Amino acid sequence: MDLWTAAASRLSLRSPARVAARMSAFARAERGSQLDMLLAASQTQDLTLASQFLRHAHDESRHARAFANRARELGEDGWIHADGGRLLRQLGPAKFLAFVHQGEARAIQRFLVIQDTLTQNGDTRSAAIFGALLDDETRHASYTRTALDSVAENPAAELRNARRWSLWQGYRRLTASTAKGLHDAGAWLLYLSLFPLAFWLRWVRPVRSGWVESAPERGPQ
Amino acid sequence: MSRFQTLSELVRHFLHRERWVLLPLLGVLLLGAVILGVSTGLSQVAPLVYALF
Amino acid sequence: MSGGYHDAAAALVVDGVLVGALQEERISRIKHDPGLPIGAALALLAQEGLSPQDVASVFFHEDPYAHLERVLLWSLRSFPKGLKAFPQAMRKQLGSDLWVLDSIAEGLGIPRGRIHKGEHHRSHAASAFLCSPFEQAAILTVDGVGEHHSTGLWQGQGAQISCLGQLELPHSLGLLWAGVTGWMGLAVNRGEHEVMGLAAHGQPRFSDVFERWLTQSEDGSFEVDPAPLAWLSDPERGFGPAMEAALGPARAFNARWSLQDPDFQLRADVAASLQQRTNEVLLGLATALHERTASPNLCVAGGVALNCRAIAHIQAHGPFEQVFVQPAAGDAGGALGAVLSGLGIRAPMHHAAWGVCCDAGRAQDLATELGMKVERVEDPVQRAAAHLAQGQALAWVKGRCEWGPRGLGNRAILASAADEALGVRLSTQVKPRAPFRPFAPIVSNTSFSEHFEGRPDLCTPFMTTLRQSRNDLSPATTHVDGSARVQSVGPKDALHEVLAAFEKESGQSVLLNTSLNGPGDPAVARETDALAWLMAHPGTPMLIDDLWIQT
Repeated sequence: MDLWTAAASRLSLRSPARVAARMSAFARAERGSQLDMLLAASQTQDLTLASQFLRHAHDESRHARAFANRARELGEDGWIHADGGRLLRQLGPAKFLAFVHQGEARAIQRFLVIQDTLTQNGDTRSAAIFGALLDDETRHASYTRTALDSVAENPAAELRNARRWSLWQGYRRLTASTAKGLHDAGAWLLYLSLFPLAFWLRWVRPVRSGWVESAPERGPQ
Repeated sequence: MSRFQTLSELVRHFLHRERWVLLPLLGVLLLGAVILGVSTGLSQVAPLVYALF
Repeated sequence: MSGGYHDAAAALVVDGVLVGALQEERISRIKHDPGLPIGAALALLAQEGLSPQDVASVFFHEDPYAHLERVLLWSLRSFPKGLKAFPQAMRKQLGSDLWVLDSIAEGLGIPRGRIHKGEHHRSHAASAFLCSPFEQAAILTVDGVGEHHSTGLWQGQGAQISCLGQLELPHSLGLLWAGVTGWMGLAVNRGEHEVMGLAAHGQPRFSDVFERWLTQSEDGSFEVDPAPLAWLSDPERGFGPAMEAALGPARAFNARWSLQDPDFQLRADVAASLQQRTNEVLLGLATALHERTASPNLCVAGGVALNCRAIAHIQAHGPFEQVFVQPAAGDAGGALGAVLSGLGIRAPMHHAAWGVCCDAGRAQDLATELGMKVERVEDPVQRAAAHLAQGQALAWVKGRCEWGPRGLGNRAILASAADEALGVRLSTQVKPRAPFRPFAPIVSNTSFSEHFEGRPDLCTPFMTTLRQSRNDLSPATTHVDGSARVQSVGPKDALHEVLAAFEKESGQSVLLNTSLNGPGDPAVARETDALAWLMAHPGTPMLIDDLWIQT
């Protein structure tokens, strides 16, 4: 696993452009995670856990900024646009904590490998960013595990559930991407085959300029 | 079932004199959407559908 | 409800009375959230002690079938240029937008039969007129595009709205602005207000270009040359090679602004030229509308109505006695218009505090848990005024969050408007922004004319117009041409007492006011957002009702 991860890491970080793209991807991931933690804080009654979620969100925000700034230095546009925020509602408290715990634990392993690869490549500035985040990731993995133990009746089962859910999401992403590819190829073919309709349409539905007649008085339907 | 209401409203919208010219395109697109939709739905219970599709 | 494109929002009417209006971004924390406003709707219902099952009807702001028709029509009209965007457009249309009424029903868990579709520009028109104080008015709607239309002339009487005429695509002021926004290296549908701010720095030396691209007839209708635009072939950038040929190379996306950049003046001059042409065309539309309605009152809505520079131009040079623009004039406002026109009711708007509350009790508990210094103060107004008079910034949270994109005094960062150094610190450290974008001044109705030309009107409480400042306010609150997005406050507004106390303490009657949010974030709504902001800005204290919180 370590050898495989190290090889994948070397491949994905072999040029500054690839490092920049990776930094942007991490910035988006951290921003998405920030949204999840922020909304989790607002949906959690337990004050201690809510405050931990808030601290976690604050860390993720810093991480997203650090990654985006470095991506910008390496030539990316530094724009972070991420989705997120629904995880707690979707998974429920125990599975959510298990999922976040596993994600953070995995991030520690991955960051160590990436830090090592970047150092070997001589990109010490990028490597330092990963190094600086490790303490945060360790803290996140630790508090989510403690919280999981206090929230879940069977923490080990929740961890297994979260792992299965995580794999299922990965599979769904893959199938969705396949479906998207098939759909887009079909849509392109359809579009190109439509050129007679396109020209006919210009004749039957020409572009109209000037004020068009009042729309009929319509209420809601 | 509620999706049938949407489909019937959609068809009624496109049956207007000015819009029927778009119906063939819409039909093909909807067919594609149904195929994708059904396979997405099936993937919940039979995840190998995509691998074969 | 409005949503599915940008700025999703929900508005709630209970027993014929408007009780709340909220953008989804305030709940989801995704700026300009393009999804559906289920979170906002649930939050508004919960605030009234209601559940989705209590909802009799939901009115959506547009017609998904007519929307799909337009996308199909223009995909074919633009053949073969639309090839690149066609699959993506179809995925969005057939995958989600077509089923938006079903998704709303499923999201709320109510029968599909309770969901009704509306009409995009009618919803805009209703959002402006039915919230105005006028019994009768002319209504102008201008945006990028609704189902088919970009611009509409309407007339309102009582709770009825009738259409006088509409312009269809490709003739769209909003899409021309989107194209120039993309050319400026800003995000389309997000950065238009920055282009407006940049205009103050420029000279309209490209006016001939924009006169060619945007021509207007005597009856007010206009045509837009589609050549420089690319909203079908490249919707993320919105402009094509013809725009670069006429104006110069596009700016890199999301590049940082600097007044010292060699091409800064070019960008500012382009912005000024576009702004000038927009002012002329909107004035032409308003004049034509006045000729058809003879009404002394005008309501404006649609994304272009958020261009407060153009609204000020109509106020100054147009034939109308009174102009009204409600705070969420863009697509978010469609939710409000949809429900008011759906029910046929009026809801004159006197304030913008229609969102969710910040729970001070929970904020206290959470802040304490986070190790922040929390103090209950006896006289929060006096404490705030004294702090501001010492030349310090303050985060201010009171009551319900605002409706619309602007901070209007309930979620605000406040500071002395006279303190230039503090303004610079705010714009570089606390709320980083492009160097040409000032914050806004806020002043009481009674002191308004002392500092700004004219008197407070129906737009100034909502910051939907501009005024020239009379005296030397800090550049932190005025554009380089002396104009300012001033907010006027009356005795019932949350900040009125603070302004009075600040004047007593410091002798100054104007405060700097900007919405309470970090860069790229939506404005703070609830207590967790407020504390998250505080954690990210440890040097600035926050006042939530009577809680003084510091990190």
